[in-house]
Amino acid sequence: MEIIFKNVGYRYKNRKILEKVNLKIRNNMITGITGDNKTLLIELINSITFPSYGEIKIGNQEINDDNLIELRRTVCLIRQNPEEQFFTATVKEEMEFLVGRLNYKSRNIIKKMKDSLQIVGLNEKYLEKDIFKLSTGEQKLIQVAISLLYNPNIVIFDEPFVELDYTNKKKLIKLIKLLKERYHKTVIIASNDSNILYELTDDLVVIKKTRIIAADETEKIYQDVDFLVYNDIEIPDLIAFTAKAREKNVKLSFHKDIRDLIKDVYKHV
Amino acid sequence: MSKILEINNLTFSYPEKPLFHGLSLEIEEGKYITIIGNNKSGKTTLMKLICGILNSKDSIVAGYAYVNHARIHDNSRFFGVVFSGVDNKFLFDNVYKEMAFPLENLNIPVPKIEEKILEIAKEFGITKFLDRKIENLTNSEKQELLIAIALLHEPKVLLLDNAFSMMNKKTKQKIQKILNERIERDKLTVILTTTNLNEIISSDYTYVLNNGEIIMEGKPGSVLREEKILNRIGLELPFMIDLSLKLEFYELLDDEITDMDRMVDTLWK
Repeated sequence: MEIIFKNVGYRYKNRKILEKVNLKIRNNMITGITGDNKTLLIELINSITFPSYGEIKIGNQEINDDNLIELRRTVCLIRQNPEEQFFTATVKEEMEFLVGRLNYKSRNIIKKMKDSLQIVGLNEKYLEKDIFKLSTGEQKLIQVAISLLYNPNIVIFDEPFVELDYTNKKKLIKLIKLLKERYHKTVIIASNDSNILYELTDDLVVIKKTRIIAADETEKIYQDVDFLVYNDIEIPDLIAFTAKAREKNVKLSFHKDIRDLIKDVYKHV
Repeated sequence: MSKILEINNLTFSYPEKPLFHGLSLEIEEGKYITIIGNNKSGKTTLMKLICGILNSKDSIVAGYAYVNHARIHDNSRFFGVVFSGVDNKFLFDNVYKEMAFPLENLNIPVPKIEEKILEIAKEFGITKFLDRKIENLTNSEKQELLIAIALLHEPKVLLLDNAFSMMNKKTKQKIQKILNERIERDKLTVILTTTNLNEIISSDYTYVLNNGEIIMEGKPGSVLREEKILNRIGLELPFMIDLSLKLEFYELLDDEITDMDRMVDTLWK
């Protein structure tokens, strides 16, 4: 689903937190959000927090009292610390709780649960496991599995890669790509990890203090090195290397994979 | 050099899950030690055992005394501890009050407390934070504040459990510099656990922990050359090391270079 912000602002006790946000998040794309006040922007999309002025449209619908519940169900928010979002002891109970809230028919529900676990790459043994004893990486996967039960259109991750090790990072990256490509979800990732954002996202939104200073295709933003330096945004390593080489008048191109970069270096040495 | 911390034949397990069986290591005073491992390697448990939150059954010697529950007061003066994450870490809503609290607990007179806080705020360059609300700080600033608080009572050993995970690059460099100064000046010993191999480069000695066992140890430079072992236990090589190793493989470089400027200068004179 497409998300549109029209002249949106948020103020807290007269302090300006977000000002004049005009933004279009494309359907079925992975969008990265980086910079300040990321979590607030996400909460506005999930209508947990409401803007002080302006309007937010989610898939052509403006948020109002009548469609609030429905719109919240189209959005799944996975917080940085997934423990905050769990109520019950086991994965199965957690899933049953949600199913109960949604008035699903109980037939086939166990199969649905197993299927959604399979999608995130966990086996059915996890149904009986104590949710609080799982590692943070697994908890994040479980959170996605749970959300797949109610089939949201938009999946948002808040700082998903913090504190994950390499294996779990790779798993999550794979899952995010799968969500986009096979399940046609709109994925939003709030993160400050420029390397992963560069590798993974299609579009990028950069917030500096209260304003959005850039919203465009990820490659375009990250390849504008002067802009990144001026605004104090982390430069992805692959870009930084090419930029350094270009300063020496070596005609390297920008690459997304280290192997391509090495091939290019080989040609120019 | 004198030993500041000694772990002898440490055995510890959670119910249903054995972790350490006979772990031993020695740490010298005034060193910067890093412990690297994946999400389930037992890093946090080791930190909790070292500072006495979990009972180590008299197998850890800090300074000249055993770490155990009977000496909890001595332990808390000896160690400064920062655990991972930034949630549920703060007691007050105001930065100054939060910083004053641990010192008040040590019965330090009020004028002295103020002096100390201003001193450390100046060292960290966070004087402008002091009257701000904690909830208005970014995650990076919160982690910075947590480290400043842990250093307030001038501990002998600073334990940082993944404490740089949400910091931006600039802050990380600043904190590294402050820690190095303190290591030089006050013979502070720093033990940092992390999943990010970038963070071990500047340390004196590195232990690689996997499933409660030290599988490798040495200077960071030599540990980082073991790409296969690191990948197998789920750790990602930093970009510059990865690039340098690959360029060496293709005989484009003679030596390992981890500094980007120097590498570009060497490749294209």
